[in-house]
Amino acid sequence: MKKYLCVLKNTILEFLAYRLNFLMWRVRAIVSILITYFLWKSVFMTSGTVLGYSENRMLTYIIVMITLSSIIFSTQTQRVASEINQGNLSNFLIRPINFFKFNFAREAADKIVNCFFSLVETFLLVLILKPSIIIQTDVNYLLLFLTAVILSSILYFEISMILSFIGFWSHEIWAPRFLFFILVSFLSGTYFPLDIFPGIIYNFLKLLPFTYLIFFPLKIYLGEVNFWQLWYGFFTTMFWIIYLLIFMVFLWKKGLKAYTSEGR
Amino acid sequence: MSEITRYFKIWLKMSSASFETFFISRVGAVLFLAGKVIRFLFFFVFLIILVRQTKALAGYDLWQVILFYLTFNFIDSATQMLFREVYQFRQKIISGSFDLLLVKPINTLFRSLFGWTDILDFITLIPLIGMIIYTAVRISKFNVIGILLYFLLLANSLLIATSFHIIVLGFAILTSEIDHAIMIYRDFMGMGKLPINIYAEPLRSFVTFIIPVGIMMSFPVDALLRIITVQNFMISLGFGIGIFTLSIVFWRHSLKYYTSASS
Repeated sequence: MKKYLCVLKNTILEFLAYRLNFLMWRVRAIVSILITYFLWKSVFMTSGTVLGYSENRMLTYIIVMITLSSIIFSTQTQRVASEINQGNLSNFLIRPINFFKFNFAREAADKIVNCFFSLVETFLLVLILKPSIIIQTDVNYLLLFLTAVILSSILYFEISMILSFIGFWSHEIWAPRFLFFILVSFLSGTYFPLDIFPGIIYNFLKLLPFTYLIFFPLKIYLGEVNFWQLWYGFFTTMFWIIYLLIFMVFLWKKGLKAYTSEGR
Repeated sequence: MSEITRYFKIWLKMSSASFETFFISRVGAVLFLAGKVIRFLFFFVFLIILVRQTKALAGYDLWQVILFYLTFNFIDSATQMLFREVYQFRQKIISGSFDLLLVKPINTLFRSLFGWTDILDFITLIPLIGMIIYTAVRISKFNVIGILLYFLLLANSLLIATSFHIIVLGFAILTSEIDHAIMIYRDFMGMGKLPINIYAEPLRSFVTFIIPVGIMMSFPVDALLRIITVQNFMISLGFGIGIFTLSIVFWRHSLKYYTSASS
């Protein structure tokens, strides 16, 4: 456990090594919030309700969505693909460490940094812009929200690792990730809430894992889920986590057989 | 004139070399292209849903909003197509391989800016132009002067984009820590996907004249829709020439600090 805490600490220090780079990365996050916020503010200037959402519900959705996105979608697992392609994976294979735990520690460090700065930035922007947003005060909802965020982080970690394992069989590692991220952004509800879709499409989306990355935690935060929806949501999330875990380990074992340490 | 022809031929040679490399990884190229198109379509659909719900966005109707979005995409794609080499520049500075560009008998800035032409962005430009023409015709609220001013301001936008890329190159020489500079530029430019009037003051003035997303992305469409003021038109041209001059001065200044580290 101690060695993985060291990995976590070192990854955090890596972020802080290039401070100007880090600062600029955070500026990008703020710009992203501002663009989306002002777009929706402008939309609500002419309408009281858009896509079935009132102004405060939608602004809450987009502000929490951007904060959540920068936490859940932040990942270090793209490094795995390069490590496989460049043969650097061999360095990890000969070390007395568990590869998945090692990567999970790197991932956790990334999320800790993102979580801290995203929350600070969102807090400051809310303070400056004073948007009319819903502050969830029900402890039960907050605990469920926190649980959903942790589960969705694990889910995204698995999805992202699986994508990186493409590196075992192909040098085309960035293009699938790029395409996949665009699809995930849309299907997870970062463009707009998924429940604006017609019932049949929305019901289909609820079967996919992507809905549980952003949309489901957000609906919990807004307090817009009943007992059965909560049960269904957590059950589906757990199903995908277990299924993708098995698939990830299966791919890892298959991949290791194909791995030739090319480039070393 | 012969010098311009020579550089045009060099650019064609470099472009054909970069085009050929895409055929080495055809699957990757297709996936990247698909990603770009899907991203464009997702936001396009999102805009249509949004503006249909609200009837207008900051006073602009659906087709006008679409024209802003298409013009943004045209400028963004053209810039990325031409200046993809800038994204690889930092590595050249860190590794010291920039030395190899300095000793070549062609302008180093030209080589650093235009060394890599992105065929994927080039492919997306063609349907974009068609869509801009179709949308402009649908709006049918323009005249010949409007069209001329639109083209002039588009050229001005590309000049400003060039200047920003030169400034980023200069920063890469001065400090090795600028990894996100070009991405920040793109994020700010992303604010121009929509009419700049959706932003409240003082952010609107900031993104119009300081960054200057408004000048680059909104003013050409304003000119086509005949709602641009003479003052804004003059400011736009003045800014373009000013920032370009400044970027060249900055580039020359930063070159003096290149240390050829790691070479």
